[in-house]
Amino acid sequence: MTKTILTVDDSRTMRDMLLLTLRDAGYRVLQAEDGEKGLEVLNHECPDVIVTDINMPRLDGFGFIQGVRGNDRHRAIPILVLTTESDAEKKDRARRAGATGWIVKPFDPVKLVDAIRRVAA
Amino acid sequence: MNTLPDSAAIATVALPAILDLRAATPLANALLASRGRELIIDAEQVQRLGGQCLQVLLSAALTWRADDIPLSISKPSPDFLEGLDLLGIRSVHMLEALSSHPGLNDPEQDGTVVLDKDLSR
Amino acid sequence: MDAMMAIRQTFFQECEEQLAELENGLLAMQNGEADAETVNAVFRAVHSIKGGAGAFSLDDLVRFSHIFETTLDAVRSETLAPSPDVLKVLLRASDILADLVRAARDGGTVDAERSDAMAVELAALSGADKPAAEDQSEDMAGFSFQPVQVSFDELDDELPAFAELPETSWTIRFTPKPGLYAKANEAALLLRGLGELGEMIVACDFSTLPLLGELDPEGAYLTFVITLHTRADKAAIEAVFEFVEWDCDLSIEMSADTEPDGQALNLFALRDEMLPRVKEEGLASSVPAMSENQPEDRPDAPQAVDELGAATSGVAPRASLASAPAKAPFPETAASPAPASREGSQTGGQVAGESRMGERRENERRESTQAPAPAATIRVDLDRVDRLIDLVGELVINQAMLAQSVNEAGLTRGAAIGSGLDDLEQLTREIQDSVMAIRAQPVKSVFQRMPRLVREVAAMTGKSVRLVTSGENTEVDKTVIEKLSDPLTHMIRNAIDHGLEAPEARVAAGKAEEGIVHLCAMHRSGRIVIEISDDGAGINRPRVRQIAVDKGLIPADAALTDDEIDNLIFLPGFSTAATLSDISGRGVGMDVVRRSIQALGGRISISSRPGKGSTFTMSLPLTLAILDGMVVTVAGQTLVVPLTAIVETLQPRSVAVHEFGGDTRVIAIRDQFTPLIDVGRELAYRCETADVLASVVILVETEGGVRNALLVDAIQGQRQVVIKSLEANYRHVPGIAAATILGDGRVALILDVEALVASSRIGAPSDSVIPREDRKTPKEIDCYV
Repeated sequence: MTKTILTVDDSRTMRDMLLLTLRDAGYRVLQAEDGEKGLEVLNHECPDVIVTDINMPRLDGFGFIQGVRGNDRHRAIPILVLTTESDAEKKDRARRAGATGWIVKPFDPVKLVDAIRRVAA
Repeated sequence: MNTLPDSAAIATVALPAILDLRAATPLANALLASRGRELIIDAEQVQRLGGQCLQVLLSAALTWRADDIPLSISKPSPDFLEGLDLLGIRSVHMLEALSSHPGLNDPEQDGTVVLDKDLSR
Repeated sequence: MDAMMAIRQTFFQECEEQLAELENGLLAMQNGEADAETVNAVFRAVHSIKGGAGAFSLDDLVRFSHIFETTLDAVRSETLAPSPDVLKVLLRASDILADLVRAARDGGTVDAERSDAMAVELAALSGADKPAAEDQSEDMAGFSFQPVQVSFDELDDELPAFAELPETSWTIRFTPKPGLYAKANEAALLLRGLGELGEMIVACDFSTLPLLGELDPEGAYLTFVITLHTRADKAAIEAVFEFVEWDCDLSIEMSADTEPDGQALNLFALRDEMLPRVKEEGLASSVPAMSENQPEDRPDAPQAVDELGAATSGVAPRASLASAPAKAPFPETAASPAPASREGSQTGGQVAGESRMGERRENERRESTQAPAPAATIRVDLDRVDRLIDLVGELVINQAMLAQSVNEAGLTRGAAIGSGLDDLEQLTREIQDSVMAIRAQPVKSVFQRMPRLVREVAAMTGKSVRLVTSGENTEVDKTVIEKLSDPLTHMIRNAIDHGLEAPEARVAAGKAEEGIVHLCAMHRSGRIVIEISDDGAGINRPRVRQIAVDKGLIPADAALTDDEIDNLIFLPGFSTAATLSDISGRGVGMDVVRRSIQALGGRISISSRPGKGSTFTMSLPLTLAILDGMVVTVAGQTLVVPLTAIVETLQPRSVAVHEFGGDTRVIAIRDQFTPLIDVGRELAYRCETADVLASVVILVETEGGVRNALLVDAIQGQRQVVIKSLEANYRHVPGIAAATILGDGRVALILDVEALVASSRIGAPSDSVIPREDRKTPKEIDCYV
């Protein structure tokens, strides 16, 4: 079965890049432009993996992750966080919020797909 | 714990397809509800076995052995066996062996407990 | 690489949005209107630009935005207070960032010295001694985004990229904590990842596992002891556990007995040896605890596993797919315990199971589908929208023609066909409104270019200026927006250069040193009105008048009101600057501004209060496509007067008309003398003066509230007309704004009321701003539709 990935990022550029990479890798891709929209998508979709940015308007990545983990229906979905540098502080906060793993931005497509494969059942 | 009536002697717990984080607690509850009876765990539907559900199954095997009541696994799916294998449980017999009882002769039973299939995504 | 080019384009579009966001945020901070979210948005804007720039290896942009971001982060974390001085630096930095973005986009170059100097300034603010350019480039280098056809086969080959080592055996003890599962990591997947590195045997130690009643189903009780036979180095093994470093206990030891070829084989042999024993013993009566210091206490791995396997765990060999021996398929069911002798084939079955899984993955990859992205907006090619608008325009015309035919056929309005037509008209109008709304955009996109302009002009003139904008969200047709930029730019330059006084002069006049330019947009009676006001000295009327006289623009004795003097600056060739300054005098006068606004069907006027400042007001149609008009007849021609200009229509009585000698006539309307404009003569349709008593007067109001009376022969009615540009199809005609096609298929010209009034106002026709030779108005134009 085709796996579905939800990408949450306020940057169109980044969403497009994720789309291109993930589609080429054979995934079905859903997009949301911030944490709030991300949670809305989860009302009617159940992706296999979520890839999310941290810095976003309205609901940021940390809040979004907490929202996912706090919902019994979705708490088992692996969440990969995009962090710009190997920013230890943000990575740590994301981890504490419940992130499954992280990807350094700008992302290497091969590493992204590998990370998804590593966390996707 | 051996005081339960023998009439409802055999219980079957059918494992859901996805044995992930969210399945562990319902699984534990379903197994606990069958305690004191011979137990057949039906693994036909299993597609994915996670560490925590394995813990529950192993704990059940130990529990049934402590109660000196037979426990067996029926119709293990290839994915179930692969999951066991990956987690260091060589085969279904290893699991059954924990309860140190020969298998059941009669797969027909009453007192079936079926886990909510909706747990699977 | 089309997809990449498209993303690149998106990136630069988004950069523009981010730059605007950045600037707006900084300006809001400057005005003390910023909250925490504003500061976040400002940070995010630069952060986003950096992120995208990194993906496209735009190194200059990455370097600068990184330094900028660091400084903004200091503001965000409140280690740097956003004082006015700091904000000035940040605003200038945003300008340089904009230049760098555009240079990256258009392949131009930027003044490296300027951006380097700014980088130093920014770094000083954030407390860094020098720009951390080098660290950053290291961080970002090498991650150039290239779309790749990712295949799992390739992944298996390439990842993780481990050093070629001789085959080594590792003993890995892995104890997940509950948090590992809670974060949706999974021991099984981690072990799968480990298995991809080589040949693996996993032993599961469940010695601490309680009975079911005491078990926390979401706890973590298992320890996995893995023997891995691989060429991968320790880093590659650690990489598998990268995400769970904090959520597990992990030890990775090279097996003391590094006997490359023997190790794994020994384990397999051991397993075969051990299995029957497990079955026979049914495991020991109790589950002995594992030795605490395993494997340190017992460096002999086989022995350790032996004990484990016999006592507390299952031992399963995991061969990598490549080396998996073909074995018998797995039996259908295993409800009853199989004899120990069948164990071998069981294991084989598991391996076969895994290869099936491999095939499945292969299939998943092929079944890829594109997901419908949930989105509230769509982006549509402008051409498609314009095509739709054209079609709706045709529909409007068609509907009008149909209505006319029905009328001519003598069918009454009461008939079914009449009410059907009414419905159609209503529907057509709604469609038209909806379609026009698609093209409507907030003027924000133009307004947000102005702060930078203001800063630049302020810097050049040595004046201190604050730009205040309001009504940025006022919507207007996209075409109008695109054409607004030039006139606005010019007027703002003008306001700063000519309107505002020098700081010393302001202080002397008792004003704040900082001048204010207010840019404001609003909707007013179906048009968009944009005001640019300054709190400067106002128009120097005696001087403007003198210049106009000197340049022969007005007679020396012309009696002009203050308002009329102010509006002299719009005359061609008028320039108040004594020398052509760098800013306003780029060969463009206010006359050009006025002409470009008139070309949009707009009007511009100025009002000024000496010592208090000036306000330029321009009013533009919301759309360039549709107009509510009154259809009138003049000298046998059908003309359309825009309804927005009309105050009322009336039938004049002779007593009301007064002649002022020559051609000038006024009409008294409710005790007000209003200039009478004979449209037929003004457009040179006829030479003789119209008979006022046989005519209809249309009272119009132009920008600034000035009223004039247009004299036409008859009124045909009101209707909505679709505007067809005369210039695009014919040429610009003074006094005429555009043309339209009426219901009967005839072409009608749409009056430019403002231009008509202006040409009649500045004295007699000979002084008209409309040159004589241009005054031939086409009567029949049928070549352009």
